[in-house]
Amino acid sequence: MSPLLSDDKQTHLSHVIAQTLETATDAQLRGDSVQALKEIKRIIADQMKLEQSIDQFVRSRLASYSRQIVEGSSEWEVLYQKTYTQELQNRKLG
Amino acid sequence: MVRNGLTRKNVPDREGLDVDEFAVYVPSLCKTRQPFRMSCPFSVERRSIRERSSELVRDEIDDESGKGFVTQMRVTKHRIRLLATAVVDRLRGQRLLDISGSKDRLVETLDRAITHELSLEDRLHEEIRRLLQQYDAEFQSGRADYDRMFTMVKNRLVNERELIL
Repeated sequence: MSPLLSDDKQTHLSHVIAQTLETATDAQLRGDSVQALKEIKRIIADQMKLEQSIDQFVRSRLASYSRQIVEGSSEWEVLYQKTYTQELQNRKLG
Repeated sequence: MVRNGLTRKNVPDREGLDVDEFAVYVPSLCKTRQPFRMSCPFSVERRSIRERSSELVRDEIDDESGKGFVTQMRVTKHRIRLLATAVVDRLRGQRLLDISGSKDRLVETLDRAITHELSLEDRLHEEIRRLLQQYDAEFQSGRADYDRMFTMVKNRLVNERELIL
């Protein structure tokens, strides 16, 4: 199970995405809808793995600072976002 | 921000504060870089303080940016956009999706749907906070426990509405 989204939430989100695509006026799902749904679930799971790996990297980076930064503080949140964005760019995702 | 009658600028002596009140000024102390110890006059786990403190910071970020910042799972708008784009690209790559219009518009539609779904818990929390405001006097006087009440109301609403958080 991903620490970012539970399995239930991932499944539910995949249904929300499939439903959105089915009702979109300028898009149409082709073939077996079950296959599309499975693929959407795979995409979400892959994304969660990627997020998990970046999250771990960012947390270890922040923990390595010589001056301890309290998790949950506004400073920690700002540094988290900044480091996360930098890492996305390093991985050519941002 | 006012919580239990306290504001960030109106923080009295730490003695006699509960978790809710103590958490209010953990982030503000971090901001001003005043030296402080993560200590609480009551036997409360640090985790609770951090979580409440973090929640308050998230409120502040939401209030200040007004961008619908989805923080509950650290999924920013940028990351939601990445997911929406990946869904469209991969489904198209596997010939499971046809697009007759603009790809960007479809990604935007998916982006909105995902954002709405992932901000469900944040919106629920906001609704509960508004509901509990009417009991501020009870919380301040100690006749009711904010955290317990919050959890009870949340569980009830989740069950009633069959929400998946």
